[in-house]
Amino acid sequence: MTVPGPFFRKLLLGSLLLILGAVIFLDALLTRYTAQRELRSAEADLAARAQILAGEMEELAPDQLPVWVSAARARAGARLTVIAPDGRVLADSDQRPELMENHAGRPEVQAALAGRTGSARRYSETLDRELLYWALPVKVYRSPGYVLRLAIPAEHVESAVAEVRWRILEVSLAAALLALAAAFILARSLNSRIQQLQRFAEGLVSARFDQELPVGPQDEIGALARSLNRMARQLRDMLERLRLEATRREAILSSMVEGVLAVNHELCVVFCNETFARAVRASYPVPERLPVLELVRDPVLIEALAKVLVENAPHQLRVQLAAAEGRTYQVHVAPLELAGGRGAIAVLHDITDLERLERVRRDFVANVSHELRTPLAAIQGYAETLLSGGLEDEQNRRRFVEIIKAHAARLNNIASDLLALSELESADAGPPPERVSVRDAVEAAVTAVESEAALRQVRIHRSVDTYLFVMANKIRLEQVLLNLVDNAVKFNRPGGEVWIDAARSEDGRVRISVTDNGIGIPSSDLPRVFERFYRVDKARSRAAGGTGLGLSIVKHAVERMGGSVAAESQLGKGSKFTVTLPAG
Amino acid sequence: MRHFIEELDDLQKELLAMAGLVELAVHESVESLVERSPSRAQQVLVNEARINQMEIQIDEMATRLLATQQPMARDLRFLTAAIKINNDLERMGDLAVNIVERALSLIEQPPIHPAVDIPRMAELAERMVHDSLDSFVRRDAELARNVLLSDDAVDDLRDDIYQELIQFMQAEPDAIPRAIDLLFVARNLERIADHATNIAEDALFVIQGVDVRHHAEERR
Repeated sequence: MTVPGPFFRKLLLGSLLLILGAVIFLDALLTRYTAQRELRSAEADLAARAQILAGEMEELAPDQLPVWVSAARARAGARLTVIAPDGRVLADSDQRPELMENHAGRPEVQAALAGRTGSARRYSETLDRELLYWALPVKVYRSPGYVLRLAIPAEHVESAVAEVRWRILEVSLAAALLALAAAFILARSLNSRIQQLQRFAEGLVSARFDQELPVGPQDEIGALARSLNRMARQLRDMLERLRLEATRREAILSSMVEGVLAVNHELCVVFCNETFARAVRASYPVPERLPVLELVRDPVLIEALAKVLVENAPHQLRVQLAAAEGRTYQVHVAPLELAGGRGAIAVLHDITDLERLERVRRDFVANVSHELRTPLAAIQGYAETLLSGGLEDEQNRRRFVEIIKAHAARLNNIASDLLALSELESADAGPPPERVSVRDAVEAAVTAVESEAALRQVRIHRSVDTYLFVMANKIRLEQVLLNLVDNAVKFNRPGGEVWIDAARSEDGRVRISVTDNGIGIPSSDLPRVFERFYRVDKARSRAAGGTGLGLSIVKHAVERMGGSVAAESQLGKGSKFTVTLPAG
Repeated sequence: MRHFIEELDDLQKELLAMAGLVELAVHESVESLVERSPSRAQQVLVNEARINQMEIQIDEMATRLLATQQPMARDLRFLTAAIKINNDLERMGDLAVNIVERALSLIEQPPIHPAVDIPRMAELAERMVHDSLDSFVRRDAELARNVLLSDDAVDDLRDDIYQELIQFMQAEPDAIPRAIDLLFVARNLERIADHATNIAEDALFVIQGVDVRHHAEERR
């Protein structure tokens, strides 16, 4: 059972006040009416009796009066008093006349002395009670001027009024009880419906839109319930739309390769996508209103954002972000309209790899021209020398021709390496991979460099399992190994060593590594050694007879065979190249 | 009068803006050397003036807050740390200028190719600077401790470079002036890394209220 609430108290109070008002009104009305009615009937009664008694008195002598009065008392049913014209009491049925004061002053007696009938209701000190008096002029012994007064207790009237009052009280008590019950029932039903509404509204506040409110009777509350239901449905739809919108936007932003950062006019983060957070090594999601300086400090980016905020015009720049490990970004900054004023949005496109590729291409063109021009210039120079008289110089002409031959051979090497590279880069898949013995390939490569190694006093160690096979192209694999071992020998110190290891790794692939304890590669050059014509030490490389294409060929050939190649190196300590290929 | 918290926020923003400039200066100083780019070197010299100006400004801000607000506990630690970090940053800016001066001298001369891994050392030092500042911004004690630990790696690298350069100078007396330039670059980088550890220590002090200075032995 619900506890009666304020609603109940108000309803109850209201009806009780109404009942109280009705009772006061009824009481005032009915008691007066009853009292008057009773009074009138009592007076009529007294008047009738008094007329009879007045008739009897005409025959009486004044000295007979006291006896008569006592005798008539019973017949009259009232106290009888006879008063002389001067106001003196001659006889009284209930009191000795000599004890009573002069009655000429009493209003009913005055009226009677004046020849009229008089009545009064008064408290009698003589009898110590409220009395109703009735007086009329009478004749005693045929002489007029006397007054007969009858008095009856007013209790009659009082009790009638009391009875009416009692009835009224009974009825109003019953009405009050009924009102209490009615107010309670009404309040309870209203209360429970309003509480339902309240719970529903609170549910809306905490975003529970799936509830349905029972409508109940078709009254004002029912109408309100219907509107609330309609509102909940609309809110649900709207929220669903917003959620969908947010999900879509989130999906777009998070699937973007570009980093997105939006800031407000105070340079605080409004939002940023995951790509951006990851690039600057911040945890995602980034807390809202975080000063952007706590995310990235790079002054170039910060100033670009500030500039767009001031100028309200888009802006483009290239920036290397310390926060993103020195990667390079093409950044588009544009003004952004925000609810709280102006903002700026930056879209960061990572162009580190693009820039590297661009540099590789530029370097390649420059390198090819340079690599070709050097031997061509030598050939041209010596040929011209021979033509302008060198042919007759028996001492030197053979040497000149040999130099020309050597440079021609070098051109040939470059041309065939370039051809090999372009073949590897072409879409043509080449011969299908076959099962190749790693040991055979390693032996072939070592045999090819043996004389060179002996010349440079470099020792080659190999530890290769006889039964190790890879799926590869035999000629390409031999060339890869030859290039790697050749480098290991050439970029080494006299007395250096080269180790060739091959083994099956846990993932079922075969790893072939060529390690040397030679001069090593600086870490800044290491990422670029697989680029075409990239040389760590140009003079040394050329002196060693390289074309600058060896590692490039290695990389492309290995990747063509479904493998990968990795380089590690420490400057001054040596290098390690590892080729991973599918097992055969 | 503005609220104290807001003033502290402003101070941190100023400090971070200055940190950004110093990080850029350190990076560009090494890049100017590696890329042999005089224009990039000039840019560092231009920015130096701004860094110095900001140092004075931040110092004034912090001192005024100390004097007028009588901060307690964490705020007090933050203010004292800000003053010290400000100082460290300014010193780093100077060291970057030193590197640039050596770079400008090296650019004038033919390149030498000793077995010196300045870029690797620079990368490590830059990473330490960046991480120490990040640890301060994000109040990340773990990151700050990592910075303290990587100081040893930088010192080792500097020792290697010294050894290599001494050998190189013995082998090629012609290149001694250039090798000395490189030696100074290595030394400046090492000192930049030292300032980064100072910042990491201050960050730890702000985060935990613990003074970790002069406890190098315990760190190892």
